[in-house]
Amino acid sequence: MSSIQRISRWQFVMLLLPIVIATEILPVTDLSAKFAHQRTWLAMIPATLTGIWSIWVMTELARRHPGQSIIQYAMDILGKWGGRAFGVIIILQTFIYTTKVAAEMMTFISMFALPRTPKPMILGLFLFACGVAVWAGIEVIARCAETFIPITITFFLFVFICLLPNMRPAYVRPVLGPDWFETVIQAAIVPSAWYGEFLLMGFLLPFLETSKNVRRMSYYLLTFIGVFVVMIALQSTMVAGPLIEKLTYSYYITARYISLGDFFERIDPLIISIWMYGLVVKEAVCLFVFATCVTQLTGLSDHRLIVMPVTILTMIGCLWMFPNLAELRSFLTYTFPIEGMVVQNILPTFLLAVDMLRRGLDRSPAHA
Amino acid sequence: MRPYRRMKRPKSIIPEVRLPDPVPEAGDLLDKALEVKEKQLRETFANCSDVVFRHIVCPDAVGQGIRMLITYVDGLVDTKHLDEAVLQVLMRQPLPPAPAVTAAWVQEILADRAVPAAQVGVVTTYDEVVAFVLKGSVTMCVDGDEAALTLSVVGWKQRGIEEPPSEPVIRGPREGFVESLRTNTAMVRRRIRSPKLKMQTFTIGEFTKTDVVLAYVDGIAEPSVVEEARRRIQRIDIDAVLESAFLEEFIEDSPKSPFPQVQSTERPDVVSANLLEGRFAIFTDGTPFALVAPVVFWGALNANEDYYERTFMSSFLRILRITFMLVSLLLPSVYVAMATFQQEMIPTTLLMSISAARESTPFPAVIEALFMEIVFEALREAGVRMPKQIGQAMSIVGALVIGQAAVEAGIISAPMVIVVSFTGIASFTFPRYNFGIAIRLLRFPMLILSGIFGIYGIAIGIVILVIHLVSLRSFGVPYFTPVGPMHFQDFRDVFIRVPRWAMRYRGGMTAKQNTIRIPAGQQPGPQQDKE
Repeated sequence: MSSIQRISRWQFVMLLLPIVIATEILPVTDLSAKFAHQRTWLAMIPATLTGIWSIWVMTELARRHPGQSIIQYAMDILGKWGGRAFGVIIILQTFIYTTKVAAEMMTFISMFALPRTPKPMILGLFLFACGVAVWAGIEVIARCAETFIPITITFFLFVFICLLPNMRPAYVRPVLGPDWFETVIQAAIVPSAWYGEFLLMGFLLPFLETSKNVRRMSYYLLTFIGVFVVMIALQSTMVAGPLIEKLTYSYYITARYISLGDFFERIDPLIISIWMYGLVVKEAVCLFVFATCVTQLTGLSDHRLIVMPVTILTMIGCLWMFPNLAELRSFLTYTFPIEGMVVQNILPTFLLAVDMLRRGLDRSPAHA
Repeated sequence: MRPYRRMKRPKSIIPEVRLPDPVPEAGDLLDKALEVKEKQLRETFANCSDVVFRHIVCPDAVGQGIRMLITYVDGLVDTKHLDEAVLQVLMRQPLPPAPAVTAAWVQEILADRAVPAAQVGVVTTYDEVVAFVLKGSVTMCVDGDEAALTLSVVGWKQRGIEEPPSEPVIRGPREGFVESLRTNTAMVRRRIRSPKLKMQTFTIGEFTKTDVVLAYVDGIAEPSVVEEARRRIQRIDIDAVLESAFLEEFIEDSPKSPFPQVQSTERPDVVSANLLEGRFAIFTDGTPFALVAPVVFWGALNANEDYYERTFMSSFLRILRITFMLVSLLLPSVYVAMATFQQEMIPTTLLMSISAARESTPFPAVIEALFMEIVFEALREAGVRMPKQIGQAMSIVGALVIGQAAVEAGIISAPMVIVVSFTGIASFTFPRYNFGIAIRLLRFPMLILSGIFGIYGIAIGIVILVIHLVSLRSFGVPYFTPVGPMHFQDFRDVFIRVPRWAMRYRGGMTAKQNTIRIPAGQQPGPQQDKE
């Protein structure tokens, strides 16, 4: 196997798609609904702003430093120690990603599918699968993504179509009303953190075969994700109505309304299976980035040396930080948006600003 | 480890004495005297009762006669032909006077007298003579000359060309490969009458000296892939090659995988089609199975008849096969998961009958499933290995005892028997036997995963399976192409088969340099009057 692995642009898109879609659909819709009620779908539109911001910053940085990951050019821009400090923050952020995704999976499975199975077993199996993929490298993760993500998207569209008879558009009203703007912005804060996860682009872009049109492609991707998430929010709202704010995992619960030909009355456990594909891809990407971070910061030669420690660390961190659903939801609602805004958006922007400033300073004496 | 060994086994202090070797070294020239030659050959072929030595004396113009020694392996040579075509020609009429009696001169005489022996050659070294004798040629040593003559009058018994039992078709050519290498390559050459079809021969095996032919179409096959194949074949150092599987295990990319990364086939039309797709084929002497590589996962679900039947039917059959591949892999585990963990997924009326049947059985579903699957595999294996007369008795025992009695006694639930037999039927839909084995094998880990984790375990099992599949390669081509990595162009021939005139491009991963197969605009339609 060659040491330099490359991914195509289609694979790049397929790797980024589950970053938002896989984890946002299930836990986030009902968290936003707590604030925006029937306007949840509206809240998903301003949430993409952080995505636009993040994509712009990451592609601009990648354009200025082609072939380098964010850790590598941070060392160039901020100097050795500044860059290392920055790298440590990014490592902690990727650690949050891996534990968060694993915790979302674990709480969901132990709530709906396997209530009596010990959580470490569920988590261990999941992380084993992800660890195997990370061990094989980014090419294998990308090919898995190509295989699984189209299936996932098709299935979610299938669920949407099957739910059409159960939707009552009246539940969306009133669209505007008293305090509509405040509630929508408030509700947009939670999902906005997910769009900030485009930070991961900083690690995937160096693997891309050609960096042509990456920014435009990423914006198309963002638009697709935005439309998709709005569709999911509308689906949950129109099926569950005012109940949506009381449900946990409203998407999963609304899927129970599906009835196929009066024979299959419950296809919701299939969601577990299909959703798992997206989650595995996302967790594998996050774990890969985590491992790459550590390798690049410590100057090791191969990310494979790190895969096992990183996976075990994720398992411990997940069991320690998010032992139950309440802890996870409180983290997702109150901590993650703020912390994510700082690390995912403001810090890279600061990096870009320093880079611009330094280049500007370097250039001006030359012109004088 | 190493120092320890060195301590245990000190180097022998006795200097190695070279024993005088009666058998000449490789590359030694033949002796002039016939007696010496005969002695050497007889020593080499000591205790080989099937090697025949025959002295003949050919009358010549002087009258004293030229002595010759004929050596061949009995059974490999057409003796009737040898007598009629060669010996009678030499012995009936006196040979013309010669300046010197040499093998080349004898060859000339044979040519002059129009001997119909196919190939006559002159060899000069001792080991060449031995090699030709073992290959089935007749060697003729002439007294007083260093060279020897080899005559190819091959005539061993071989099986006739029949329809291959492992790949039957309803429509399509009926001939299959046989055990003879040249017959097989000729069958392919007859289909691809182009000098671009190249066939390179290798000899592999210390004892068997098996001829192996690497065939590819120059200008379509990727040169780097062919070069890699050549390198891997040349690297093989083995004592014997008795079947192409011996080679397969040396040239595949990932030995630690249940999935075959090289296709084996008995059909010349399949080999020809694959060669024209840019793949290469390896023929092995002594077996009707040729190897084809690089192959992909989805190719294993395509039968050659897909290309001979109408496109709608072929596409339908392909989708059916993919579905049944999933059924044969997953059905028992899905049943176990639904019966144990996700009962809500089973429709109510069905759930009633399943739970009524399961009420009286003592085992949990997963144990029942594992037991039945193993019994089924054992029945199948017994059915394959048993002589046909006993096989029938066994199938009665299997069907009655396992199927009916176990259910009636309440040991196994009836739905389980249905699930297992349906899985069995599904596993017979694979066009390729060795691929089906891989899926059959993977059913068991899936079953255990689903017994522990339910539908979540199945999902993770599929994930791990796909991770494994996408990390495989066959001669540099990713195994899961065209799904991962995605090649939209190749989708015309994976899940569906488009008509031949629309299959305009060769497989994107195997034929990169010569991609266009069929020029555009050949879609047929009703005759249109042109003004």
